[in-house]
Amino acid sequence: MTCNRTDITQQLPDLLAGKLLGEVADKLGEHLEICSYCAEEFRALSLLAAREVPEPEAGFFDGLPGKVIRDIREKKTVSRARFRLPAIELNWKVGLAAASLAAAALLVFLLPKTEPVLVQKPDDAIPPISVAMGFETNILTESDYKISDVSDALELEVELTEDDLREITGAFLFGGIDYMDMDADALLLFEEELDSIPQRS
Amino acid sequence: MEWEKERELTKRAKKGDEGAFEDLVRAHQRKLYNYIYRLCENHDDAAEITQKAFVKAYFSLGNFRGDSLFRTWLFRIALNTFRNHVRDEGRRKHQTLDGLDPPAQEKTFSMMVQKEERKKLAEAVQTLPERQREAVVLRVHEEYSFNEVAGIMGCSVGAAKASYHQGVKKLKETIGGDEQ
Repeated sequence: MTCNRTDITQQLPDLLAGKLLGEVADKLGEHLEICSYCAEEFRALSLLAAREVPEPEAGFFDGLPGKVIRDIREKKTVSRARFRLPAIELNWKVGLAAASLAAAALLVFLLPKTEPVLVQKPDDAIPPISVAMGFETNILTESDYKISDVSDALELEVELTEDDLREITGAFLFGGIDYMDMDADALLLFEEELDSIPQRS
Repeated sequence: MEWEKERELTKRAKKGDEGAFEDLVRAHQRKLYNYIYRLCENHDDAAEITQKAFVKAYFSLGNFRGDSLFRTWLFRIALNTFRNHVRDEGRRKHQTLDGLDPPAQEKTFSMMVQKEERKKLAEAVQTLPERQREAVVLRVHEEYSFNEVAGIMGCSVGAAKASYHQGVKKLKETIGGDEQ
């Protein structure tokens, strides 16, 4: 026994929720009287909807908002204390420009006396770096190389693009992922992509 | 919560007003907790995921444009948090379902049958593949339209409908209503 009226079955949850009124509800009711397949489906949905969620322990809902705010504050504090990036947050472009200028000046000063500095590019043999400070995700840089800390990048002499830096800065400041520049679709895609990155144990 | 008030709170929270965000948490926490609980049937996990989802939502407020209801947007983040939780922690727990039913004194035979069937259905929901379970819970318990279900699940409307129908078909089989 089956029924091909998907237009009916798709509306059964709405009927159950009392969202359908008048003629539409009457038509569904009439169909349920003659179609045992849909009637059985309606019965199953009714039973399912009647299942209640047990009440959590007393005080749970009173305490939750405070816990959430505390977590938010902790994340903000940890991010700023760990990476000391508020200045970059305010104006990372200026910081980057200043750092570039300083590096160039230093290079000019040192170049005649020292050998050129070799910058080692990452290769596939280098394992991914695990997540620092309990953040939930690694960062995938433009060069497809995972880092979890600017200092990790420096230690490994990975060259970072401006976009990498911006992403890392955002991630550190906002507790894991730079959500701020993403819409909901991009966020889901980004998180799925991050989920697929193997974590080093 | 009224739409206007919610919009105002969201606006203030976006500017960093923690008090406003706290009000949003207060307004949506029960609904969100119940939703997550139905997906995982475990209080500890539901509590943890609910808390995490709110924190994520706070840091994501910048991309909430108000095209959808705050609750729909929040559910989307919560569902993603739930998926990550299941995948990363590998701790989908199945607590005994004895405590799930309302404590009413159910003495008549038909009520006992219903109780047994509800219990069976609750167990069956937990055995559904993740997407089917999500679609059924969102559609039946949270009363979202298929468009909204698809939006929250991050899939097409057709895929949401397919997941829902497959899930419901299996649930009907559980109580003997759709046997071949």
